[in-house]
Amino acid sequence: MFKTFTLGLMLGLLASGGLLYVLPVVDLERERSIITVRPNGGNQERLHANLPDDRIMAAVDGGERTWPQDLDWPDYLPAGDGQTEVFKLRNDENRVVGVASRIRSGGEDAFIEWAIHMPARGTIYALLSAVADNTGARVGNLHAGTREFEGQSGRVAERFVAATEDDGEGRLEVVTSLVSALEDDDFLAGVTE
Amino acid sequence: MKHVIALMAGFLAGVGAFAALMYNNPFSVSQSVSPLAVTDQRVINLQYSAVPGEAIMFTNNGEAISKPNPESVAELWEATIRDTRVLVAALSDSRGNPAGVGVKFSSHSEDTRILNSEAMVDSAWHIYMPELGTLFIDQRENYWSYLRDIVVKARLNSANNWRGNWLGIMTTGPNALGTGRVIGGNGLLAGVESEVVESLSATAYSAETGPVAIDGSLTIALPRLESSQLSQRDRASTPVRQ
Repeated sequence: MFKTFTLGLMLGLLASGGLLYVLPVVDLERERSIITVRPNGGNQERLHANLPDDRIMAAVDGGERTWPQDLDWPDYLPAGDGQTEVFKLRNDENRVVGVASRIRSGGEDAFIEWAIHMPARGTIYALLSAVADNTGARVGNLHAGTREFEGQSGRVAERFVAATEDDGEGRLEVVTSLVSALEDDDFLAGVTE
Repeated sequence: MKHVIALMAGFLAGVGAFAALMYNNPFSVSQSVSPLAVTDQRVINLQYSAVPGEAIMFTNNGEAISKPNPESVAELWEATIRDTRVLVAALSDSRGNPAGVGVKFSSHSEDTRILNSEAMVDSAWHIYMPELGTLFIDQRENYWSYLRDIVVKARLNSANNWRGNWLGIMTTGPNALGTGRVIGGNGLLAGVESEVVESLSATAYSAETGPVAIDGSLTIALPRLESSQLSQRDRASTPVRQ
């Protein structure tokens, strides 16, 4: 009996250790990446937030207007004409793939920044111009990336598309066109010779 | 039949013994000294409350013991983001003066290895300080010691809570020395690339509602900015390491 118990004890120890070694404790859900390869334009990916449903939080005009409406934006925070928003972001199949923060500052040195967090892929940090171009888009660059986006560079643009029907405000689109850094300098030298 | 019962009892005892061994892993060391303690760069300290109820906004999948704040905020229930938490916190400097606002994204990491005492979290901060500019922080955190020393003890306590004094360094990477990565965005911090360490200081935790009294701190090493570019308040509050 004791030998059987001891055998069971060893099996329990080995099974626990083996299972923890083999089975992933964390297995993040990931939607397929819908990426378009553009000639000399990098890998383009389109993300969007349906407004107002995908707006998680917003504080506009220094916190005078907030979403949700019972959000308590501290009045002791440094004054400014900043705008802080948090969204859920969706891919072209309208599936949620991540969350993002958007910070906008006014004044002479106005800017727009995005931090786009996709749990299974990484985070994108982009700096955009606050001035829209002739297409209505605000354009900028990928300033930093983590995990899948580390070492990449490229263009990031945002555009607000108003709703065509009476079903919401519209959608805020973010388009990334990213390229990976060339790692093999010898290869590049061989190509140019 | 007796042997089957003995085998099963032994198996369960083995599983329990393994769990106890993981909990009391002698090779698991809690980091209590910041890698930035010996930096020769200027260091600023940003503090925030890690209690969801005291944050400007906190949200998760809605099923965890820490509930979203405010109650009406959208929850992260979708499959791809249900292991993610978003915290919007008011940041203050080391003197308690308001410094700015930070948005923290943190997600369970697939690099979690219980056998190595690693409960990993991939996190990122997006910080706006009107007087200094903006920052992006990329870091990996290990919540093993927090779970072991606070959460598990609270659940094992008959009153379902924990009280004490606990300080832990959460940041373990991605830099080689166990620090996080800081990237400056706009303003005076444009072009800055530096390091950060995040720590938690806890005094109370409830197994039913989550953190009760926990403060977070971001220790950021910054290159020396021109003295005219810093406010009087900031110069007075940041320790200068010569």
